[in-house]
Amino acid sequence: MTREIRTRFAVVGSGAGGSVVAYHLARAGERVVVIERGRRVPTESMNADEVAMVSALYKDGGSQMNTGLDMFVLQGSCVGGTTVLTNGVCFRLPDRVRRTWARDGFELDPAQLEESYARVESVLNVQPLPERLQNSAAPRLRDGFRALGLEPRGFHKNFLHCLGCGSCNIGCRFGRKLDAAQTWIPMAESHGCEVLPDLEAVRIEHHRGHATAILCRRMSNGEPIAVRAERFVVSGGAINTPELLLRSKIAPSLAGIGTSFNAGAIAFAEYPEPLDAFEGDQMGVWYAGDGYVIEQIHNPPLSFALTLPGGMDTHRARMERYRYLTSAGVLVPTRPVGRVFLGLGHRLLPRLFNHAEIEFELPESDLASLREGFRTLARAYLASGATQVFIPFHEPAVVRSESELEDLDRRLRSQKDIANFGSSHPQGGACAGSDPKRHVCSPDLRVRGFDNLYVCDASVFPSSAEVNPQLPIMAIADYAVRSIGGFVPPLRIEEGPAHRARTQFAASAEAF
Amino acid sequence: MRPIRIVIMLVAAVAALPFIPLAAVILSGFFLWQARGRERDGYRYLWPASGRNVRLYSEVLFEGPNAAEAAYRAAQRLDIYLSGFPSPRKWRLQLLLVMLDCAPCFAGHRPFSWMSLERRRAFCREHLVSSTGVLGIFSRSKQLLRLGTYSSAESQARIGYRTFERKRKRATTERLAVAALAQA
Repeated sequence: MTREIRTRFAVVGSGAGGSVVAYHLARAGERVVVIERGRRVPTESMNADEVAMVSALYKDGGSQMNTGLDMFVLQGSCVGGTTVLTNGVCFRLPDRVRRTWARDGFELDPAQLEESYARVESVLNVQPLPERLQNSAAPRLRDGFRALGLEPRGFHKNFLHCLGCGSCNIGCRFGRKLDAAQTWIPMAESHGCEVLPDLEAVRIEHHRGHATAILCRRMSNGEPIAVRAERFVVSGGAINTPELLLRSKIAPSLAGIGTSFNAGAIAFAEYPEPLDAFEGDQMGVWYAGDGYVIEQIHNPPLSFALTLPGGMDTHRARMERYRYLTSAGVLVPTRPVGRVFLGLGHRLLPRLFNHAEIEFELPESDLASLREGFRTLARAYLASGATQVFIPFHEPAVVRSESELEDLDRRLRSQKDIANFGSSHPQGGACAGSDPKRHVCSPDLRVRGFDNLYVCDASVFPSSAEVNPQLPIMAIADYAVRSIGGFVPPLRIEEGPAHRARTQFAASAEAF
Repeated sequence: MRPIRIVIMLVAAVAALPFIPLAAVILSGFFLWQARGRERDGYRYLWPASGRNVRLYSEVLFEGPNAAEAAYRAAQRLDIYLSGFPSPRKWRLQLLLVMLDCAPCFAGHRPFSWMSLERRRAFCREHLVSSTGVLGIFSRSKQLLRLGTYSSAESQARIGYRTFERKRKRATTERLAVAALAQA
């Protein structure tokens, strides 16, 4: 017997897109139910144990790969979604990208988008990361860039009184990162929104262009639950959203097409003296090159070991020098040539292959950008005093001088040559735009041919956002509330942890 | 699909029919045996066969007198990881770990569990660096082994990592000592 839940709005996913939409709808007095596949992991139960946290917070324990088994795709699977796992990096959508999307028919009004940014940034407390919180490798790399005549920049992050523990990617156990689980979700719940964790959306029931219910399955015991609503918002992320549409036979020829990534790999540098870069915030500086972005990042031991190139003995010897090593990622906004689809295994043995497949091969033009990114990063590291740089190729690539960089073209011919190639920024797959032959969603994010089904997450991006997409997703979700809910969001949001902190600060300053 | 392929598949399916009951009996016995062993070894997700393979490979990863003990802990850590999340992809990891024993056969060696520690080490050095072919797939299992290895507090302390809590405790102790000195 299937249990039924009735509501006015059903939102699938509690990440960057779903949480913002759920908050605005609940605040406006609507009945909202949020369906989340992952569990609720409260701050109190988070700890520094990487293996336990990766297992609890990441989709498939971080083991999601493409069909070629040469690319990791990391996503969150918990209340708050991937926002719980980010390094708090907040970039606005580059205006160049917004204009490209507009040419595709996905037009975002700059003034309204600016209002959305202002609201989202105030809730997330987006601020420049103070230099005192940066890890010790950040100023070294900055000096290296400057020695080459390049100017790197610091990050803006959604932190509130960050302690600089250096473990952002396994959830903030101190509750200082203002992710969706700290902000939008509790704020929505305070307005009556019901969040249902541990519940997987299996299929959307629909009839003649009208969605009627979402059929769900409880992850822990398989209990079937049907959520009936008047309007549905799918915000499962760029892999799960196309998967749900395909399972439901909605836009079967378009869903999953045009998936793009900010994809890349992490290179490592060794210094003659201990850096202890694990002390301080994980990500300090970034540099935007032509077609690539370099983001300095230092991981705690487990993630460090998993990305560090090297065979058996080489890898062990390098790990022994952990205190002397540091790393940075080279990211390339890829072309939308990826595909999410339900494979043959899913059709023949759905119990064993109950997931979507991801197909992606880095095009040559993006490979060229990646090569250039590695070259620039290696130069910057050498200029900053590093004795050697490890480029993450299967064939060992240790760079000790600039002359050794010439060899990179030969060594990097495809993504198969890269040891730790991956992405945590999948986008596209249910693109928004004006062309019914190419775009699943219309510019107001409504699924074409449906009157009450919307998509609101990174899967609507017609091409890569070219930056860490957390803030653009939230801002576009805020923007889309006008069409989804049919109302204009308030100019200011005066609730949440950042607002409370600001109010307290103002009160104590006044008292002083 | 070409008609010849369909014919070949049909013939193969008919030929396999008599073996299905036998395979079912063997597989049921194997699963029962593994389930019993799992209780004995205290694993929540790993099968005894996969747990044993993880230990054998991890012994090669570690060197030194405590290698066996460290390898045992690595298998326990990997079990914690695998039992912590639901995933339709997880059975493939289990299968990969079970099949690890046969990895050397693809390079013309005897199974891994039949090798001495020295032979295992030599095999891993020579073959487990490949990124292509069947051995490339086995080579990727290194990540799972590293996951068991570098997540333990002992290995992290050995490479010089200090958790933030430890650093904060030390800073507090130092601050208190300075305050006590100042008071004195």
